[in-house]
Amino acid sequence: MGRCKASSRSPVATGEPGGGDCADGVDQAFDRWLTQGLHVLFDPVVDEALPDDLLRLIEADRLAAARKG
Amino acid sequence: MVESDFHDRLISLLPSLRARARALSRDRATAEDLLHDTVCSALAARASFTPGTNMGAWLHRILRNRFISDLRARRDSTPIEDVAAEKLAVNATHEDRVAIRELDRAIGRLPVDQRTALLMVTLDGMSYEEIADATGAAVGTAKSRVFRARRQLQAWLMGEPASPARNSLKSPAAVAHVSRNNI
Repeated sequence: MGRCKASSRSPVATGEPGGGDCADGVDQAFDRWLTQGLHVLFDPVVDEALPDDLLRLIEADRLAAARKG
Repeated sequence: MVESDFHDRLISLLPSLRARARALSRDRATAEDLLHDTVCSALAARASFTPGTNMGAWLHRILRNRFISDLRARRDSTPIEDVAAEKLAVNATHEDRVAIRELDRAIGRLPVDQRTALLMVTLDGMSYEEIADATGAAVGTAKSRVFRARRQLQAWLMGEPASPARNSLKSPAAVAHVSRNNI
């Protein structure tokens, strides 16, 4: 495919074992779109407030561990 | 690791763990239960954590194991109903929203190990070595899972060769997106 950009195809970026020669630019474009799409789907979760009960659970365990010394 | 360091690290990793739980379970309530169970397991197993090793990978391993054991008890999975709805509504075109929802559905169809590996490398920036450590697999297996996950999604969403069923799930919205950005 004429649009292929082989030099920018990184094994780390694409997960392709060995990276190798460029199958086509569509793979790269899809991988970029996929990465962007996954971030759109799941990044907002990181910004949500943490549940109080979970934080209390961890703090209680911290106190219990401190008492044990 | 001092006890307080352990708890501080655990708290700092909760947002990432929660995102991973949501991505794996694809359901808010199930993800919250999974996160809670993971934290309980981590606290109970604190003595088994080796200070100086990768706590994120350790926690992800616990979360993954909990998720898989939960899967055996109840079948996967309901679609994400609200994960990024607000963001999509504000920033995305109709075509974007359709493509992302199709991606969401396709993610849920991936085998758990492929889904886990893909999310770890894409969202957490974990190395293949860290993924291998967290999932109990060889490094080559981790690489292969990420690769196969990407190509399977591509086959489903774009109709690329790799899946006999590719045309049945081909997504016009995803195709349009990728074609537009394939310079």
